[in-house]
Formats: sequence, structure tokens, C-alpha cells
Amino acid sequence: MLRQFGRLYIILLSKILPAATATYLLVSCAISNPTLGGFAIIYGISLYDGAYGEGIGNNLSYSDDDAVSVSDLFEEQGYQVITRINSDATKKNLEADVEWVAEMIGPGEPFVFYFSGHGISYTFNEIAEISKEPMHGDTPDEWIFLHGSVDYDALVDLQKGLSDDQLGSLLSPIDTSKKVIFIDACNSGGFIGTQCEIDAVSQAGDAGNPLGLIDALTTFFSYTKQIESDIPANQAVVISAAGEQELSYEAYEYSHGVFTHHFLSVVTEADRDRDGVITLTESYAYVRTMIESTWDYESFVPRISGGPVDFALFSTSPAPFR
Amino acid sequence: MVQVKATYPIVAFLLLLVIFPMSLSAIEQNRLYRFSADVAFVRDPRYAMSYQLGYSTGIGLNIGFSPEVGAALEGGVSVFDSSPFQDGVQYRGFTSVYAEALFDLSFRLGKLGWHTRGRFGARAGGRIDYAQYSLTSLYLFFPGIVFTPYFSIATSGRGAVAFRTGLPLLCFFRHDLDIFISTGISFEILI
Repeated sequence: MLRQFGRLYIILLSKILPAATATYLLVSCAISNPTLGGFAIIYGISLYDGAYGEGIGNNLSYSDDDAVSVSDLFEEQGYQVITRINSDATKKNLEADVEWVAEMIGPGEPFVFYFSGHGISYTFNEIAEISKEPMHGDTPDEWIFLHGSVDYDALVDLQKGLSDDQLGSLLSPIDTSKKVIFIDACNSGGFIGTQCEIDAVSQAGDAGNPLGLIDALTTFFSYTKQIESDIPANQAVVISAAGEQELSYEAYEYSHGVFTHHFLSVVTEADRDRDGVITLTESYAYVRTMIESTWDYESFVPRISGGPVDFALFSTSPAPFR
Repeated sequence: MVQVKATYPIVAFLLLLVIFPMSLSAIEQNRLYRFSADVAFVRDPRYAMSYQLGYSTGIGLNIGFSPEVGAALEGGVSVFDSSPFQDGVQYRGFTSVYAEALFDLSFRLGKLGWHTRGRFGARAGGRIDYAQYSLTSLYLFFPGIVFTPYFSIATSGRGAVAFRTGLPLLCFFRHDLDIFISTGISFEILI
């Protein structure tokens, strides 16, 4: 009896298992071509106060240029793009754009929201001082400033801005399983909602927590499927220019935000595995490596959401298909 | 629901860790060196099921309480590549450090040749992994259970060595995945 089991086991090991595996691999490879293209909403604001020039007062210098260049990049890659800069990049227009995309997009089509402009992190007490806005989710709350939400003197109207939770809610009508958010703004890492993972990079280039096993254990045992703050990975993958407590920067020599400058090169530089497809994680890894190796002013490190999946974002071939 | 299931392998793992020191007076102890080539079948409920190829290598201590019953403690490194793309989506690759605690039950198949004996058996137990997603600094913890039927050939006499080949089945309990089941082929040397 045992001899028969032994023979059966050897047959299973030597013949059936390799054959089954090979068949599955062949079938899977045959259906694995990534389809690129999708919808993108690109917003960039340099001129928060149109009465003054770029770089003056609270105005930025290159965020509108970031948006235009990123828009070109996505259009070249076959995305349908809505681009709004400066006074056109308002919360009201964003709500309308999201509504349009929500009607047009199919469930498996990628959606990208990109924002370049001011961002900030507020504690609840700080929010209470400057606004009658109700408190949201966790503290501190991170915000991006759309046009009209901050002026020359940095006076803030949060009704016209978007918090991390509000951005997640605003984009929720877009019913696709491939939703991506890029934010080139200060404190943008706070938009990332954590469920299963810990990020070993601490804030502002500190030594970090590279072996945070205890944190990882705590995260595992305190897991909840629906988190009530920020944007969880099962809702959208967020790639941020900086950490929750970090500033991000523009650079005169790049004529762009530092994050966006490197992001614009990912199609030609970021394909690590040479498979002709640039994924979100490859894009993130390239931009992060470039910033860490070339930026020697105030330290900041891009962040990415967790979650078990990665998306094809760009193709290295000139004519991606939809 | 996942949290309840996830505690089982951790309890099994801890139980075996407690039992293990008591067994050091066992009749036989061997060092164990292991390599396996694996394919994992993964599914996030939002996307199609896919597979990830991987391998793992580990070292451990194998203890025999009797010729049929034993236990093993093992630690090592597992690597799983990203899955191929399906509709523009792939499952992230990761590298993990793992620890396993296993019970071992085997039966003698008889003498296969001159000074060579065969055994057929199975190992089962709990496992914990501390993993890092490829190209990121994101770390996560997850437990799993392991079941490995195996066939071994051992030389007899002084300096005996056993070679095992097994069919490991590994099931991870991950909050972010419905399914992570891995199988493959493993090779072990017990000295």
C-alpha cells in the first residue's frame, strides 16, 4: 500500500505537476498583454492669486508647467486627458470633470488624477482656528489647495480646497478598479491610507524604521477593511511627492517641481525589467531613486500606497493601444 | 473572518516553539538545508486570479522523537516575482523572511538498495512571514500554514545523510488577498 502511494507520489511529482504548471504558464502568458490608455484629470496651479506673477507671494513658479507637461505625457500614451491650470483648476471644475469621467469610463479602464500645487497638513485645532469646516478622519488632515482656496497672503478658504478624505470621496463615483492619484505637493504622503503595510521610510529623511516588525505585527492584528481616513489602497493607489510631514520643492534648474521633473522621464528611464511596460511601482522607484541621488537641499522622499497589485501605466513603445 | 483564521497558524507556530526545546533529548537530530521552487496562485477579489513564480531557501533543525514522528524548526528567505500582466494589472513581487515550525510523520517504505532506505511522510505546521514589496520600502506581516508530503532516501550507518523531495503546499492568510496558495517542489538535505 505504502509502495503504491510512493509510486503515485513520484508520478505526481515528476509528470503531472510540471505539465500542469507549464500549461498554466503558457495560457497565462498568452492573455497577459497589458492594455494601456484610460482617462486622466490633470490639475496644476502656480497662480493662486492672479494679481501677482509666478513665484511672488504665495504663487508657485512651475506647477502649471508641471500640469501641461504631464498632460502631454499621458496624451502621448493614449489617455483621454482633461487639463486645467491656474484659475481654471477649481474645486467646482474638478467636480464636473469627475462627473464626466464617471459617465465615460469602463470598469477596467485606468483613471489618473494628477495634482501639482500647494499642499498642507493641519491638525484639528489648526483647522478649527481657520475654518468652520467639520473635522475629517485622522489628525493631522492633509489638504491640497485648488484655485481660490489660498491667496497672496496665504489666507485660506478650505471650502475651495480638498482634504485627503474629501478627495477620496470626490473620486469615488469613478467606478474603476484601476485608480491612481499623483500629488506633487507638500505633505502629500498624508493622502495615503495604510491598511496592511508599514512604510519603513520615516519623515524628512530620518533613519526610519527598516525592521519595523512590531509595527507590521500591530498593523496585521489591528486591520480593518474600511478605514475612515485618507485614501486606502483598495480605493486608489496614491503616489506622493513627499511624506506626510515633509515639504516638496520646485527647482529653477528643472523648470518643474522636482518630483514631476523626474516623473516626466519614466517612460524612457524606469523600465527596470525591460518588458516594455512601465508600472506604477517602477515609476515610483525611479523617481524616488533620482530624488534621493540628486536632490541635496531639504530632504524629502516620494511615497506609494501599499496593496497587493501594481498597474501598467505607460508603454515604452511609441504607439500604445487602447 | 480573516483574523480568526489567521490566528491558527500563529498558535500552531508558537505551540511548536514551546514544544521544541523539550524535544532536544530526542533520539535523533539533523541539520536541514532546503530549497524549493514555487508557484503561487493569488487573487485579490477586485482582479483576476494570477500566479507568481518564486523560490525559497532555508535552514533548520530536524528532530526525531521516534523513527515515525518528528518535528522541525526552519527559517529562511522566500522570493516571489511579480505576476504577469492581466488586463494591465499584476500582483506585486515580494521578498520575505520566514520561520516555520512543523510536525513530521513518516513511514518506512523498505530497503531500496544497498544501505539505502526510503520513507514516505508529511510535514505540517505554521509559518510567519515578514515581507517587503519589491521596489518599495513597504513591509507587511502575515501568517500561513504549510503541508508538505515528501519522499526521502536515507543512507544508513554512521554519517547517514537523507535526501528529501517534497511537494509543499503553502497557504498564506493575508488581509489584502482572498487567495494566496503556493505549491512547488522542494529539495532537502538532512545531515
